[in-house]
Amino acid sequence: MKNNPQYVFFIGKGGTGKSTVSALTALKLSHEQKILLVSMDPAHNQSDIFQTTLSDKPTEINKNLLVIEINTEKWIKNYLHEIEDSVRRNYLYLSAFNLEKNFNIIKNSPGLEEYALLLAFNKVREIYSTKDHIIFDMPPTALTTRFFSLPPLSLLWNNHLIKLRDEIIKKKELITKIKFNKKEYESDKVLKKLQQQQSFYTDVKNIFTDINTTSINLVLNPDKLSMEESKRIIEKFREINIQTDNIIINKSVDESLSTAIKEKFRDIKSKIFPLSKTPLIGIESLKSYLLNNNL
Amino acid sequence: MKYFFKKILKQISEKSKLFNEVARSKAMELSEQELSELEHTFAILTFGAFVGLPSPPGQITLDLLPESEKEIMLLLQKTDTAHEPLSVLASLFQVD
Repeated sequence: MKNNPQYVFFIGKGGTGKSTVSALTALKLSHEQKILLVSMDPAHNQSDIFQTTLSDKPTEINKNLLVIEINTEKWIKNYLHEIEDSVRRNYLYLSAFNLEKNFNIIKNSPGLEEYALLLAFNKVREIYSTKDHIIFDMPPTALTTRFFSLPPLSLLWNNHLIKLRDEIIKKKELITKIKFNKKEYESDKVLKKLQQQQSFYTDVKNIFTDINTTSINLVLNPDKLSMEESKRIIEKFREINIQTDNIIINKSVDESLSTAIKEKFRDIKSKIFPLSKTPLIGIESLKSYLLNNNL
Repeated sequence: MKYFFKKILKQISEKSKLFNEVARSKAMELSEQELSELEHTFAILTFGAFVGLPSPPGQITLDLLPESEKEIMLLLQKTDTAHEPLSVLASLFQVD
């Protein structure tokens, strides 16, 4: 029986080379396995690296490697559109409820960007479940941290709202019992929706915290700023029970410095990616880099 | 005669000043009530988190929106009657 794919995330401070490291890893693994590389970073460097136009439809790089780009704005737009459609279908009395005006403001609300990425993640894993690995080139730290924190935060709220809704339903049942001398069981659509949300966030949270399913790879450069931010990322992830599996010391020039960094993060496996003398643009230069550095 | 008309005009002027003051006072009361409700609404929206009324993440409320027509109607009703809290209270206690 085919297992689900392994989800490999490359995270880190902006400019550390997450996109390049993701591309190199995807290319290396595609020698023997079926790989999907997903660009979640709005900067979308993968099209520059592979020198090809990418989109939300898969582009074949080689027979085992597909690449897609997630357009966050499009995902937010589609999500709000779906909500608007559902409201128009379901509302009986408030058909003139002006959603468009509200959505023009809501689409820029805090939280929607990371939720759009979460929806995209869920869709990708549904569609590409036959892949061996799905590699995610993540946005810089702030958005990535919010992405991974969203499921546990949403579950806190969701559990609270479900408790409140249960109490409302009990009161309703009591009132109908007093009024009509019998309990009227009416399925509560809001409660059903809350339970669906609970199931979704629980699933995603479990995927992120399962070390057999998810691998978190922190890319850093051998400089103080990068190292300090990396320490904060590891700590933040620990708070939400997500383990950092690997540290990638990218653009390494001084081997002794890289060894010192490895020592600093001794609890976590690390790998050194030396600085390339030539720009890593195009499949041939990526392949050449992998060959020359025994990666 | 002149004196009589002067007296009447004076009385009319005093009466109209009185009506004016009463009308101003009522208008002021209404405005103060409206102001109070507006300040109340503003405080709940911005500082609700500090008094036990925090807001959930946006996508949680958006996901629930299609199933929540009744809740939205309740809120709209509340904002409509926010200007007349005394009449709502009176109706609750069936005061005529």
